[in-house]
Amino acid sequence: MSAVLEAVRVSVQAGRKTILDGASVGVSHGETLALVGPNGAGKSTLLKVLSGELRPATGHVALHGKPVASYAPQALAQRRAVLSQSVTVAFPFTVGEIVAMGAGDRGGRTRDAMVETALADVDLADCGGRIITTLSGGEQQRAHFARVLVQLSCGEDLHGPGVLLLDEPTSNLDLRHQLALIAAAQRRAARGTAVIAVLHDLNLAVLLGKRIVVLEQGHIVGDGTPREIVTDDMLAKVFKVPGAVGRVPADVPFVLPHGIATAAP
Amino acid sequence: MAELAHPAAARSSRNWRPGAPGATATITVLCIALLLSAVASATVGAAGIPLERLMAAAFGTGADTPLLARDQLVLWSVRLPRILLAAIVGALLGAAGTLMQGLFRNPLADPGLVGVSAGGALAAAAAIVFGDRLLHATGWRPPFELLPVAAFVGSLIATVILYRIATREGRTSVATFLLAGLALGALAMAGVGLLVFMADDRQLRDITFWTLGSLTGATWPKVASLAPIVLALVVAMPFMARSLDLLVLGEAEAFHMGIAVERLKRYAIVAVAAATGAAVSISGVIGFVGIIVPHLLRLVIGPGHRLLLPSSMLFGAILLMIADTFARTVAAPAELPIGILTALIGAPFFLSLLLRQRGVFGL
Repeated sequence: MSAVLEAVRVSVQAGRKTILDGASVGVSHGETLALVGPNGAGKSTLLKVLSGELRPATGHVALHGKPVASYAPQALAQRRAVLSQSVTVAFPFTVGEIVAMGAGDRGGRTRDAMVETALADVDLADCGGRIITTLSGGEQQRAHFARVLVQLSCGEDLHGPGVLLLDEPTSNLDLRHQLALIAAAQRRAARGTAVIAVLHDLNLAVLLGKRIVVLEQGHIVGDGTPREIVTDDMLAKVFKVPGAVGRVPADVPFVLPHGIATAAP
Repeated sequence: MAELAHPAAARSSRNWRPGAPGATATITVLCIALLLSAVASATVGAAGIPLERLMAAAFGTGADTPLLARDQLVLWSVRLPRILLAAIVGALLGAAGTLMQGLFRNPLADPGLVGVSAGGALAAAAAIVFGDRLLHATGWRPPFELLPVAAFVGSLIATVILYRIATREGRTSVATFLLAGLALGALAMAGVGLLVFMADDRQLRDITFWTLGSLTGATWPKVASLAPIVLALVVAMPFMARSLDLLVLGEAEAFHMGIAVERLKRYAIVAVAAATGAAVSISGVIGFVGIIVPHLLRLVIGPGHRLLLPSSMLFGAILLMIADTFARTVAAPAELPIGILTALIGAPFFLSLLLRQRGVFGL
């Protein structure tokens, strides 16, 4: 299957520091890809490059085979939706108003139905009228996820399956809502959406991804199935955490850290 | 403008703000209030025209009695232009405040407070002083109204500088913004002081008028000169409303959701400068209207710009019309400068707002 969104040998510099160094990654329709790596590996930057927000110094990003920079913002917004790490809202918008923003130019009943469905999807069905800043951090994150889902749905109505980019979407969520978010992303993928999520929790990455991509210091150092990627070796080398991968009966790897390594191997 | 959302965008069958009045109700109520305050304002003043004589003065044809003739003269050549000018300046200030707060994602922004009006006043004062000299030296008279254009350019430069200073990597620091605005305002006012030093007597009178802020000397041509800018704002606002809503989430999010952010910012900066410059060129620096108006409105109708922008213009018009009525009657026959009056009401309001927002912004 050909990639719907693809970064080819992209590099990004910030001052003298190289944040991404010739990283290539692509995602196909219906695929779920988890992007993992230690802090400062360049995960969020790679996601920004993929979303078109950041132009790489070298390399290029293609969406449906065309350079991502060649799309007008609105055309881009109809083909990919992005959930950022943290969003602060400066004015007292209600949750429903925020989620409805995802619907773009759409109005009327279809939009309201979309907003209500998305709110129910993130377990905020009764919170549409609340001022968003009165919600907890996790609830706000879910509200923004609902907004992104509405944007994705609107775009997919127009142009078919789109791309969903999530930057640490579970960082503020409790266990149940972490799992619910992963499940929601998988439901989208089942209908053709290409999903890329930056995740810190390797177990969630295993749960979400048919594919896991590992970034370390701006390089892609691993790209494969969870079974190929989540190994004692990778944990020790990339995350500097000694032997912690277990296997549940179905041969799904899971990580149970035993403290951290005192000296890097 | 293709990439800014179309005005039809926001039509919806559901209001996500329980208890808030709808758009039609809000606009209707504000329009009625505007009309009522205009009528009330028309009746009072140095030469009062009681309500029962107002209709005759407004719509009567011939001057049947000396009293009616006087009423007509006062109403048509003094009172009405003054009321309209107050309304227009108030509308411009309300719009400028709302646009600026949306642009900087900061409810404490006001063109009068952060030096944008001062920038306009500096340019206007420079136009007064150097315009004369230019005319004397070269005999060249600019083919347009120099003052409003100068005020617009001054406001534009101040807004751009402020934006450059306060915004880094798409984030605007509230503290930097306020402090930079303060410094800009002080710098511009120092410039005005310098010009005062250089000015002759007539120029001095003209400049003093700007620094205090006043609506005296309202004439029909002044009203007419502002009308196109108000009209342009009214036309442009619906195209910016949804984009400004999305900008509230941050520049990156607005881009992710399809907004051409740089273009929106350029339009918003020009709109802020045009509204502020136009108001300054007519009435001098009148502060705090741009803070009070959008804040009070947001409490009732919410922060959505589609309704907030036109409401701010209407509410700003009402507020300044009432304030101006006070300014010209409280100490009659003398007049309070209206800038002093709005500062008396606005500054405590701003302080209370600052205290309440302190936690939010980490100030």
